[in-house]
Amino acid sequence: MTACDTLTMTKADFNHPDPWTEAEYLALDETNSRIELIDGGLWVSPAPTNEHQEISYLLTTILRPPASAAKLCVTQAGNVRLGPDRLVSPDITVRRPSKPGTRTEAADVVMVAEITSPSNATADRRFKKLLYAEAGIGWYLLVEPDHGTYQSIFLRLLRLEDTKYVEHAFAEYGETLITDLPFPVEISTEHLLDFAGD
Amino acid sequence: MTTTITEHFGPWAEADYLGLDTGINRVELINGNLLVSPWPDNCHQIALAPLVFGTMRAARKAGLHAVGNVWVRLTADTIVIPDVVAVDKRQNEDVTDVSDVILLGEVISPTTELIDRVLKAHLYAAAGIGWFLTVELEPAVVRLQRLQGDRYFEHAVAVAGQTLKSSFPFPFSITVDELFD
Repeated sequence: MTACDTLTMTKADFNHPDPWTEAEYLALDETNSRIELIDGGLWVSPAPTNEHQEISYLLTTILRPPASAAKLCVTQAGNVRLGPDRLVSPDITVRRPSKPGTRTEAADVVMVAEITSPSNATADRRFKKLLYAEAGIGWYLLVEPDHGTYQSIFLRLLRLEDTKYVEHAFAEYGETLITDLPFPVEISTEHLLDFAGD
Repeated sequence: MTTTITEHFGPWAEADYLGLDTGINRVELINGNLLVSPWPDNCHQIALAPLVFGTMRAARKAGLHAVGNVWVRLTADTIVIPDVVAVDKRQNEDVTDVSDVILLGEVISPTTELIDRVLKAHLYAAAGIGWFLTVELEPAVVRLQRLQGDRYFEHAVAVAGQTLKSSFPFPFSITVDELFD
């Protein structure tokens, strides 16, 4: 018997009389969409576009060497536990190494990055920002491509001050975002759209 | 056509969303995403009926209509299900368009507080809904907020033992203690 045999898979249907628990959420069947658990409710977003995934990959490859040098790990679309019954999947999570598992505790997260797409831009700019701030995540990198053509992109690095994020660094298209914190890194905006490159 | 959450691929359009078999949970369409809310607790349900009926009664006196638990289209890919809306004409379509909405009322449960306060309030303001009435539980507070520019400002407020009275957007009054009677 494998570990999976002991788990009862739950279906993401709409006949659930009680709030979803973390255990039920983690046992949800695979879907074509990304599902996050927000205070016992579900936030179901469409699968990301190819462009979104390209940017996520390119940003991960930029972040990984300097993060490793600072003894940090970089994960794409992993589960992060922000609080009871609140589990989200940031596009990229930079975290302190922790024991293997299906989720990272917010206390181990150094920075999250979200790449906006037309369907999640409002959530990323407002809603997720508030969730990350409430969970005390120190740094939030917001990656904003031009959704029509993907010919430009800008970056905003936000730093948590008390309970709110303030802008720490900004780079418009053509510029490179250079920062020493949360770890020394340089992110070229042009490189993030270099889809054919490598 | 009935679609299920598992089979669907890509952002949900209005037609996909309206075709969902939604069972007992409240499912809303937010910018092409689905927001599935947990079943509300008893406290929410107790406050809900007096709020809906109170708003309906006041709206009718003013020659308007109020309905509870209906689809309201805020944008082409955003359809919400507020607890109550006051509208300026009787609705014949399944989905009420935001241009007909005069006031929107919501009972804020502790579990959905963050979504209601941050996400929904922003969407309602962006859609230009002029008046936003909220009932908070534990402690009980009724707040009437007015849209000014791109955000809501408090117009009137009442706590336990008080009655909220307003002449706008139509004359109505809500006695806080009656909501939890």
